[in-house]
Amino acid sequence: MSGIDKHTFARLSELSKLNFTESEEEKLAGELGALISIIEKIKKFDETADGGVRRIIPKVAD
Amino acid sequence: MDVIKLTLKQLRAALDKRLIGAGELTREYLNRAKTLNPELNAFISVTEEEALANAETAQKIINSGESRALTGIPAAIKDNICTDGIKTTCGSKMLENFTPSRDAEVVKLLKEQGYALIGKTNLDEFAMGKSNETSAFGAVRNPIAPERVPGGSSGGSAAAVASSCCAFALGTDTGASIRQPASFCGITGLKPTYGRISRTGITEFSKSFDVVGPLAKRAEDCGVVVDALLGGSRGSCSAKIGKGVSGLTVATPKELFSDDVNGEIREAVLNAAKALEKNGVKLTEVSIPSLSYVVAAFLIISCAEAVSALSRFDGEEYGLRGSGGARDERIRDSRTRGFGDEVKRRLMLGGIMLSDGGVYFQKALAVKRRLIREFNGVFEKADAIVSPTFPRTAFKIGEKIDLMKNYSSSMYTAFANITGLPCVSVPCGKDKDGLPIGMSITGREFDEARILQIADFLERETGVWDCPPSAAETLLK
Repeated sequence: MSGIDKHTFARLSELSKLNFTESEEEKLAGELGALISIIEKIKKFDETADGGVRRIIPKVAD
Repeated sequence: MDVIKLTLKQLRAALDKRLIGAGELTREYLNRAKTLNPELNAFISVTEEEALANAETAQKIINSGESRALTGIPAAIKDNICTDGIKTTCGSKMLENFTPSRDAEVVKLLKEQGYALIGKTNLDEFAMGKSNETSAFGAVRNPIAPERVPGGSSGGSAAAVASSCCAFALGTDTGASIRQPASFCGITGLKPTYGRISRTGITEFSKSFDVVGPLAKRAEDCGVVVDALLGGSRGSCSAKIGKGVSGLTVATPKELFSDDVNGEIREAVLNAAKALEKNGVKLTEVSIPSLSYVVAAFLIISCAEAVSALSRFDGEEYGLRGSGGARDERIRDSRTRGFGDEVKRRLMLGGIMLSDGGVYFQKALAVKRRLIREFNGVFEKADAIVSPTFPRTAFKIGEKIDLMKNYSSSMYTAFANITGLPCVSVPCGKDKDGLPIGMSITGREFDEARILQIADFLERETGVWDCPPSAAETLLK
């Protein structure tokens, strides 16, 4: 998840029940891309590093 | 008698000794609110009729000798807290015409005390923001420097208290929303322990983090308000007010004093810590490594929860009615016109967080568990943690703030929401432009009494609150 492409943006706006004009979409897609870069940092977090228990997430079929 | 300079306890004494009537006191604050609000925009509604009716009831209670801590005390309520029969807009076009049919639990408790409601205060839309500029009802001006923001999202509550339009105000805090505006406006704001104060009747943003708390001129006043909201049977947060701080240990986490913090702020907070040290407090530097994941964890959890919380606003049952024939078309129109840019951004981000099978959310919960462990570790050897409330002072209205920097600044405040710990912001100095600097004091779970004790000591020691702010007085003339 390094940026927001048109397909993902359309899916998210459908999920959120929001309409955007093309210029709004372009601006917001850029902002979301930037915010995702902050969030991606969490991938580096090792939850077992101090003896914590990793929670196993059951795989759910799509 | 200059009533606006009195603490809540002093006001209580003045009312009970009949030095002033509840009606007279309410009118004093009401007049200030009516005169200053066109300049400050701190209130979305000034509730004159309600305030005067409340004052009349309060006077009867006082006359009967049955007064309680907040009987006859004029207060303001953030406009995302439901008030029976009084519009509650959440600062959003979506709820512009929404009038609840019930009071929030905290409002019920204040009514039982016999308070007087001066008005409902402006806020960032649905409590999402740090400047109060995202409100559909316009930006709020900071009474200390009217060209600047009061912070957010409880910016209206902070501005109302700082300009003495009310004796105290209620706000909500999901990531910074009581403490950061308190810091920008030079007042004191307390985020209580998560779950300590009822959230019933508060418009939800993020159910894991939302809390209600007071903004007031003094830590002592915050204690009085929280005690009233606890209903008298769940301990006292004021028990240690006025006691010395000698023998306590206070920790300074090095991650919260990094170079990202403005130098003047870092110096002011460290000077306040040194003032504690001079009075017998032991200072100890600590490290809380997982603080570096606070911003990511906060964004993931709060935005994902906001998607759920705001899903009820579709114009069908609640909110702005959308136009269009088909239901889906109406809902999209309602939400597109009803929500502002900041809310839409967070809903879209929340959508991303919910679309990955829960991997990010689970990681964020793991960060939360680790942070709780790390903070508990610190509290094994320290009674409280001090840090800057925010890495900069109040910025100018309309000033272009880098999006990344804006969101990243959550690290200084959101740790208390993620861990659920109580945290109070108290004024500890001013920068070269005379803008207030806030210091955060974080305590153990349910230990509001300790952090208010330290905050109260610092207020008495440093005495930085100039009452009332000179800028607000100029506006009044």
